[in-house]
Formats: sequence, C-alpha cells, structure tokens
Amino acid sequence: MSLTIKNKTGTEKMLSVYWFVILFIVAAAVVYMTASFYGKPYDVRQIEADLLTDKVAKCISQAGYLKEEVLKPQFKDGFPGSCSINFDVEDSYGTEEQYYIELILNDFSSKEKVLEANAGNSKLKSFCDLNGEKLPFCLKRSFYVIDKGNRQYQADILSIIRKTEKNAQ
Amino acid sequence: MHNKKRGQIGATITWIVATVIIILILAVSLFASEFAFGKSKKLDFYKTTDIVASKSFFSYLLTKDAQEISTYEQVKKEGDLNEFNRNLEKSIFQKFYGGEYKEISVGVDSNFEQTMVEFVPGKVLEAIKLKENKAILMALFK
Repeated sequence: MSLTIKNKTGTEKMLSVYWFVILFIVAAAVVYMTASFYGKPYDVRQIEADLLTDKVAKCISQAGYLKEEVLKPQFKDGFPGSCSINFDVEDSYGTEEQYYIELILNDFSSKEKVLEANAGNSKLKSFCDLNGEKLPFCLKRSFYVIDKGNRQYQADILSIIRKTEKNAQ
Repeated sequence: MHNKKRGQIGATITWIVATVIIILILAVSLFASEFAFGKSKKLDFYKTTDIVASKSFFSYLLTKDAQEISTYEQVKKEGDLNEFNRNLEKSIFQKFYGGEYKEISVGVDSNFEQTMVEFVPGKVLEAIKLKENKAILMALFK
C-alpha cells in the first residue's frame, strides 16, 4: 500500500518537470516569434526617396513652368543646396554618404541634354540594376515641364537611399 | 505485475507522442512566422496625390500648340481633347507613368465633383475646372 503511494508521488514529480519543460519550450517559441516580427525594422526608404524626388520636382517647377534660375550655372553649382536640400543628417554609418540625387533635364522632342546636376554618393548608382532587399533603394521618376517660351522638357530625377543597416536587417 | 508494466509503457508512449506533437506545432509556427514576417517590414501606403505626375499635368495644360493656344483653352473651347492634346497626353502620361500605374486616364469629366469625393485606395486624382460641373481630369490607378 505504502509502495503504491510512493510510486504515485514519483510519477507526479516527473509530470511536473515535464510540464515545466513544455512551458519553457512554448515560452521560448513565443519570444522568438515576437522578436522575429518586432525586431525587424520598417523599411521607409521608399517614402524617403519619394520625398526627396518631390522636393526636387517642386524646386525646379512652379505653377507648371520651369523656374528660370534652373538653367543658370549657379543652380548646378549649388545643387542640392539650391533646392534647400542637404545630406548632413545621420553620421552613425561612418564616412560613407547615404544619399545620391541626380537631376537630368532633356529637351522633350530632341532628347538633347540641357542640364545635369547631381550630389551625394555616386557609387550607389551601380546598385540600381541589381535586385536585393539589402541593397540601396533607387527611385527614378520623370515628369514633363515647359518654360515660359513654351519649350518642352523631360526632367528625370534619380533618388538613391542607402541606409541598409537601419531599414533592411 | 505484467499488466501494470504494460499500462506504464502505454502512458509513457502517450506523453512522448504528445511532446512530439507540441514540438511539431511550435516548429511549424516558427517557420510560418519566419516566412511571413522574417523580411524587413515594408510600409504599404496609398498616395492620394502624386506631386511629380501633377507637375506634368499642369505643364501639359499650359502647353501651347502652333496657334499659341494652350491645351486648357483648347479643351475648354472644344469640350474634349483633340488630336494634338491626345497625342501629347500619350507621350507624357503613358510613357512616364505607365509602369507605375495600372490605369491612366486624362480627359474631360462631366461630373467631376462626384468623381472627386469617391475615394478609392490607390487612386490619384487631379482636376482643373473648365465650367460648371465639367473638368479636365487626370486619374491614376495603382
């Protein structure tokens, strides 16, 4: 009789250890799943590139017309400062610049290049033809603009954002 | 004695099978969550305005033909796009935004006030009033 009671107590102890092990496995799985979801950053580079493109578009075109100062040499020399843009934002990634912006203005009909202005890290351009989540994000957009003399232009804006460490882990 | 041993073996097998099932369910959940959420999180956002496309639209309306009449004035007078406007529209909007948007429509809308209030996610609208309820409209659909 007393032997049966002792055996029963032993089985219960084994069972509680078993349940604790299962509990830890389940808890570890929940922690891993939560970390794998919330540990990944939001990739906001598309929004950032969109904003940069919009800023340049607003800078060169106003009320449907190309701003006169865009075709002056001072605009190209001062770019991107001439569009009130600077890249002195985050320096936590060492010396490598995280941005590149390029503006090309072509004649709409003849495709003759009228203006080319760029700023930032030009090495980032080489990644635009490649596919991959952990590569710099490239956005190329074009728009149509005319000047006061009815000359038609095609404006191409290329915005590249690196920041892979912060957005694509 | 023999029956008791068989009972104990049965109970142990039940617990082993239960443990294997629990571990399998967890492993499947882990792989599924890693597959679904393991990549960087992309933000899905709907744009109701597209500044770059709007710039093209305003310049398009200001473009003058050989008679020095702007697209806006031509459409206002004629009530619809003519051949010159239609060709120019195709060479701008279809060429520049055809890859980004599924559907691109530039034309005259006779009920534009209603069109403007009907919100569709992923729709970009820009309208310039011609007269009364009529407008020249640029609509881009993702």
